[in-house]
Amino acid sequence: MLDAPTRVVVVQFPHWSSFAATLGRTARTAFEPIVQSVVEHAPLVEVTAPGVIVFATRGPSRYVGGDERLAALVQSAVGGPVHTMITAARAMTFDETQAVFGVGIADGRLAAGIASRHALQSGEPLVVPVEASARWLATSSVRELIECVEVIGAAIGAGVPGVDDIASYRDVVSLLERLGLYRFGDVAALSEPDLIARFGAFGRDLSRLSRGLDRHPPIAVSPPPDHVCAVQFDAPVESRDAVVAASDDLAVGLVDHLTANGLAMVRLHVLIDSDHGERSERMWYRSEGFTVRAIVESVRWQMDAWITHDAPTSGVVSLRLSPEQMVVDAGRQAAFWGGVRDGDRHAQRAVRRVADMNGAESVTVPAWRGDRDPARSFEFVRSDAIDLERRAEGDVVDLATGEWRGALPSPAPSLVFDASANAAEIRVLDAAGCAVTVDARHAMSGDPSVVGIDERLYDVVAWAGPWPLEERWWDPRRARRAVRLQLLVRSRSSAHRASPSVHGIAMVAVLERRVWRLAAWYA
Amino acid sequence: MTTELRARLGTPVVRAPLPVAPSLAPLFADGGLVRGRTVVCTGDATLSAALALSAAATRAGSWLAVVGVPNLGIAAAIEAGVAVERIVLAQPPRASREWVTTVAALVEGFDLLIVAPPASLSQHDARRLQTRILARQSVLVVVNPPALPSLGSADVFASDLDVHADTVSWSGIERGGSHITQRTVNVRVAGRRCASPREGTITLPCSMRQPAS
Repeated sequence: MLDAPTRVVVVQFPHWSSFAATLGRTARTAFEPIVQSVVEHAPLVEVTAPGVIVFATRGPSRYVGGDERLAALVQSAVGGPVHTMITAARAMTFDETQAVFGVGIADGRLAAGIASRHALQSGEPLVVPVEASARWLATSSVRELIECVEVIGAAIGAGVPGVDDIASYRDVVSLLERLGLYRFGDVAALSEPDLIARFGAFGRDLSRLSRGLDRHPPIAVSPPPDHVCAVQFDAPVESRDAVVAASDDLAVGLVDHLTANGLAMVRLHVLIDSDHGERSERMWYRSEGFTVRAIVESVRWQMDAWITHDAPTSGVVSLRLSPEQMVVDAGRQAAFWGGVRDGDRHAQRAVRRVADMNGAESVTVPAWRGDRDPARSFEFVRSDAIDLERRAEGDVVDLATGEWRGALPSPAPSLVFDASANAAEIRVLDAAGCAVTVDARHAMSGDPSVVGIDERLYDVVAWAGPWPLEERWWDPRRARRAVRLQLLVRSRSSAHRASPSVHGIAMVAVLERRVWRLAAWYA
Repeated sequence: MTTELRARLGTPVVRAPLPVAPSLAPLFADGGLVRGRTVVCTGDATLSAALALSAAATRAGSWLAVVGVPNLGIAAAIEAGVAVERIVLAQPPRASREWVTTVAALVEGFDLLIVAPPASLSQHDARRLQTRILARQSVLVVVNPPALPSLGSADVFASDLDVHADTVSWSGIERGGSHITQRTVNVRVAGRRCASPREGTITLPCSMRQPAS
């Protein structure tokens, strides 16, 4: 393989997610018909993210007779489903004359990405001739980098912040401009070691991108044949989930094998055959390297697309995963005690299965938010937003060693209720039976004497507080005025005879807008 | 007869019990949580006890699924010494059959499960889950925190070990002063897999915290 720019077509929808949302569709399912229409002209397309399609011009261009004709063909092929979608949604808010996508052809992903953005403005596909491609990129503004993050294959929204995050691209671009490097030509004029010295690992990417190359240099050695892995099913498999589960097994083997050789796969070719000879093939690209989860997600997406749009007439008989491009695995060295443990993988697989059954939002993992306040230091995020495999490698800060001096003193309550969402209303009464109120100086109208939760009544034994809540304690978007009271109570009713709790039950109540709510329980 | 049958079946693979914190180890005759068993935690400190039991195992690499407790206080789990990077929270559908199917799928990947059973859970489905726990050699910890609405009873499970955790004293809190600084919990371990009940006292939060390894 030569390390030279490849001529590629980029179809880019700059605001795909919001466009799909306006049409009332999810980004991924809405994008599928568009991918299908392009696949009719170029069988092997790469889908990096919903909204971006990239493929090499070589074969298709020769077939249709030139880049210009290919560009026009793709333009009309994509325009069809987009028009249908807008009409179907009867979205009057759309100005039909305004283009929502652009088609660009140039040497290298970045140059083609920039071309597609220019095409978006003109409404016509833009083909940068081979001889002009290098100049085209050299005169382009480095700001285009931010707009083309998805095209060059950065991981946005992967849940793992890092170099690939769009924010860090913004920082890099602003730094470049402050250094007086406004065009890619200026950047390309610098030597790679200088860029690496200034920008770290990203300097290498910058150097390559500004010369029209992909971020990852192709590996000169072709992968040994045992990298390709496939499964032949004894009987045609009708269920999507069974195929996805099979891909899980394949992916584990493949990733293990690559990791053992210090490699990561950035481009994956997935081939699925049905019993009647129907075939679905697609190229997938992940600049940060495919994890097992990413591979399985790709296969699932491809299966969904195939079932929905081509409706294969029989079950699947074979599934093949072939890595098309590998890079040296820099970011994810296997831990010295043997990489990802089996237990981590089993857990991850179980989570995926349950997410498939009940929806990804039914399985959540605590994610570190980086707040000093323990009550806010974690949020629960959907399991599909986080790669558990990476997480188990120690992404999570070792919290047990940290200092936990936050809003709620230790010991921490084992149940916490978000006052804005699901906290139950309770009654806190004084000896006279009046609701306890707190004035502006945080003085209570009377000593709390009885707590009522639903029908149950509790006698207050002791209390601590009231403490004013820091503003924005629960919800960062709203400033709040509230007070908190720690209560030690004893059950009065006979309903709790099973666990008499003679020594009391502890809870935390929060008063806000004259309503007491149960905020925490020491269960 | 039995010995003959045993010989024919071969020696079963016995996996070491899941470790528990040193402060709790004396309460367990086997030195830890024997795999395949069901532990029912009761008392007012049910959830704290369940977290304390799970902590050492998660630090040793086991994953913990907390099922049906959407309001788990993560700070409390951390205080108990649980490795947060190996906790997963699951909220399965509350219908008995779907609930069991979901939890059974989790059992495949998790050594430890803390579950708050829904009210609809039938005894039949609960036993089905226990069979799966036994086959997969995980440990099921059933809790029943009083503050959560519409929870079912732990009685539908055939308990191997009963852990009763009751708070015996709260220190620090007064009528209007200071705040809770320490909680002393009396833990009693009994049940059909326990020859003689054992009892011990743990204090929260300190004594359960494992020294960093």
